[in-house]
Amino acid sequence: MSIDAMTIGRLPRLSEAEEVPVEFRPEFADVGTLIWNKIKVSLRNSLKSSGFPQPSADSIRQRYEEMERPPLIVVASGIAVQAGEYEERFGSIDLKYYREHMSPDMFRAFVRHIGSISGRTDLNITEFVDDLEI
Amino acid sequence: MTLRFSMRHVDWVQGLTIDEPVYMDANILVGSLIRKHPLYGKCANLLGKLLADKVEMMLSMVSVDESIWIIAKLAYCEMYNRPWNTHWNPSIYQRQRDKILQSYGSWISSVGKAVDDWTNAGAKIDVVPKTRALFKDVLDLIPVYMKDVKLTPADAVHLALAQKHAHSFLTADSDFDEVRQNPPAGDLVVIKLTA
Repeated sequence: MSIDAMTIGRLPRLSEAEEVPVEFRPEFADVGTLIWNKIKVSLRNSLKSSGFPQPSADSIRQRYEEMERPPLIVVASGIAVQAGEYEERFGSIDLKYYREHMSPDMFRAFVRHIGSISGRTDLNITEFVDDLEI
Repeated sequence: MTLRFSMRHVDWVQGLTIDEPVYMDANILVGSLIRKHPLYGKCANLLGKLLADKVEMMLSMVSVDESIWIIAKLAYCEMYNRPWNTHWNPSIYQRQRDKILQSYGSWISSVGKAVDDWTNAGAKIDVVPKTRALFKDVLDLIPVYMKDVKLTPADAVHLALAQKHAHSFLTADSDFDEVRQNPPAGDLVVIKLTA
């Protein structure tokens, strides 16, 4: 089945629709392809002419951004990070132990700050101290 | 008869008993904040254990100053995509200061915010020297450690502050390895974290 057929096949038949929350999107991430844009414009015009309200360009863009944004991982109340940052900051930290052995306030303060600076792997403190003493 | 104790120098291993109070070198503090630091996992886990166990910890303004200085250099390296061993000194800092503070101000203030948050959440973190008398003792020890342990002035200050206020001194600095070879008097245990 082609992308076109899959996408169009999801649209409700107008005769069945009283309230029709229409949402269409490509099955793949390449939303900027020419064919998809043509389909999108064609469908939007068709629905608009049929009286269905259409979302603004901003809301569509926002929805795409939300779809493409990696989900956040909640580390503690009020502290959420993306998966990559979670792995870097907390992959080597025994969060389960600290969650069990710290008060909620202390755990939150602890995870808020550890690893909060991205930094670099070639950092060497001894060389730094030599610099400082000059 | 007067008993003379000598400082000890040991490598940190998981499960090592750490007697409190604990004096923290700058490298342990920044090591727990900078996630790509080679010692990040060890520093952060050790800090977490100290916080979880409500261990009495001590910092000095020398530690804070060095921590911020490290972070300022890190910001400079990030801004110009320079390696960590790039040349860095107070003159470069002065020329780049505004850019560093503008682009990496949150990094610079992170040390203070972290210590403040941990303290507000119940951590026992003191700043030393605690009293004028102890300050005097520290001042007296600095030249002794500069000579006998072959330390730089800043490192001699760390060791003197730790000796007068703490039972354990956490560091990643190899300059304190001399304590192992030539231990000065004192009951302090220097605990070194290695990658």
